[in-house]
Amino acid sequence: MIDSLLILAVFIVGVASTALDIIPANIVKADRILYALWIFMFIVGLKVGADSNLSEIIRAVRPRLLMLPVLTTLGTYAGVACVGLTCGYQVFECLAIGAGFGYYSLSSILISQYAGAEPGAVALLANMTRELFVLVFAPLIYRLLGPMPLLCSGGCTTSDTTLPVILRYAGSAWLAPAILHAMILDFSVPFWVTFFCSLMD
Amino acid sequence: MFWAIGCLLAGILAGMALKGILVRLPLGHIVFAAVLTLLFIMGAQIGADKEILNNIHNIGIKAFLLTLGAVGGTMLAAWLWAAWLARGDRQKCPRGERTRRDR
Repeated sequence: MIDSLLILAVFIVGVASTALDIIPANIVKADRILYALWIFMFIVGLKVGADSNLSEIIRAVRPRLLMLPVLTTLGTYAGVACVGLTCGYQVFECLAIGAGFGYYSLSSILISQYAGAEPGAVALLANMTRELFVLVFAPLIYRLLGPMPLLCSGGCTTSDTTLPVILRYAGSAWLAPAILHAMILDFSVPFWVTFFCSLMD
Repeated sequence: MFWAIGCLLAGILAGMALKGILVRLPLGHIVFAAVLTLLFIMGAQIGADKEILNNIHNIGIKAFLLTLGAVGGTMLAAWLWAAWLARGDRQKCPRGERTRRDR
């Protein structure tokens, strides 16, 4: 939670720094930001590669467990596409934002680079709110709908920030599904986000 | 755009190859520092764009609606799947034994 607040604070300081002319606006318009993004992606990859224990993951995989990230993906896309169509937003932009699955840092950085600063800001807020929503409403979601909708609603955050609330309400049997769910979604985020950004006008 | 994915894949392969060395490095902290730097830049780009700043309330509404859509759609999909699984389990247990998933 402190990390989320720090991220939001740094983002707001960034907005204020150019809005109040503390730093010149042309600094952030340079092409070198793109190189910074590539280096960032490489470091994210290093962390994924060094963290992942492939044999353990493959052993934990059951067909029914694999359905969890599929349900999260399909449900999220259906939901954001409905919002896009009813509110008159560009559907591919909504899908790119939804494809963050709560992984607000990576998705918003990618979207702001490839689709523009405004969709990037929406992605940051929407994906942060997703995490907050699950943290706040976990008991209600569990009581009304059961453990599976609670786990899926957490998206990428089910292996870290929302894991404690999921285990508290759904039970410790959901530990392995929650981690596997988040790992698969985490891995899919950069692919889905760049894919939907490439389909935007 | 595909350069970003290429860098990610190269990073994953390098991470798997250099696992022994990398586990000793504070990679999580390095990624977090990179995230903060890039989000500062993202914020600065937004601050430099007066059109976005004037439109900030619409950005908030759009983000809120998309959150509702994403979470609502996900919960509905998972609830339908859980209901379908529970139905299949009840058919396998005609005496009405409650399975773990039914709870």
